Amino acid sequence: MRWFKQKVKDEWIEQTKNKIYKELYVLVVLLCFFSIVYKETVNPEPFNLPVAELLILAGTGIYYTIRGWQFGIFSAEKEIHDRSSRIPMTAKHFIYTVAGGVGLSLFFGIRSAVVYGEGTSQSVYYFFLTFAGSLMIYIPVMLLLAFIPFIFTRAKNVE
Amino acid sequence: MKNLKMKAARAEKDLSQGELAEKIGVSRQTIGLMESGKYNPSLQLCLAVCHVLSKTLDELFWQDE
Repeated sequence: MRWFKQKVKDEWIEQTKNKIYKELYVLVVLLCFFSIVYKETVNPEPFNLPVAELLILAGTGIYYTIRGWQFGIFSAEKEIHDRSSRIPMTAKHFIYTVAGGVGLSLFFGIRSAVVYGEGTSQSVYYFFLTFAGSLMIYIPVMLLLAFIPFIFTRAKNVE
Repeated sequence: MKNLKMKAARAEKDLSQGELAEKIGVSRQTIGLMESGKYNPSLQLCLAVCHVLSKTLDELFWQDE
């Protein structure tokens, strides 16, 4: 009897505020993104790196990851996803990140062939050289990035 | 879906939305949204409403499938 007699907070106000905060976060991310694009393309200046914007983006991402892990939302999401999907969430993460790595490598390979290659054979050589080099760098990096959520979701599942 | 049971129970007690809101400690809008079915309240809030209106959860919030 006692627990529902405690003072009720107006949860509708709280939830609506949370909704606004969520929208606010999207707005901040968009502003940072456009600021980076502006600084890098429209108004590129030496020593004018978008450090603050990158710090905001990385900092909020890391904070979300840590808090989400503490509350256990990642393992809960994984549980719900795996209940209805044939492919487990972890496998999906790995597939997406490998695809991302291949995509990035393709981009750099094509860019290298188009910008620096002179003649067909050199272009093809540059493409494969850059593509292979990028694959060697990006696949492990992306897999490492994919491994982080795997660790975070698994740790809470064990508990 | 509108919660007409809650509205009827409030009328039975001769309370306005504002008075009920004040007794529970929430805003009038929250009560209005609950009655119009535009807000999904927590169990704690439902219990607080039931307590003030002297009804059970079944009587105010049960919906047949």
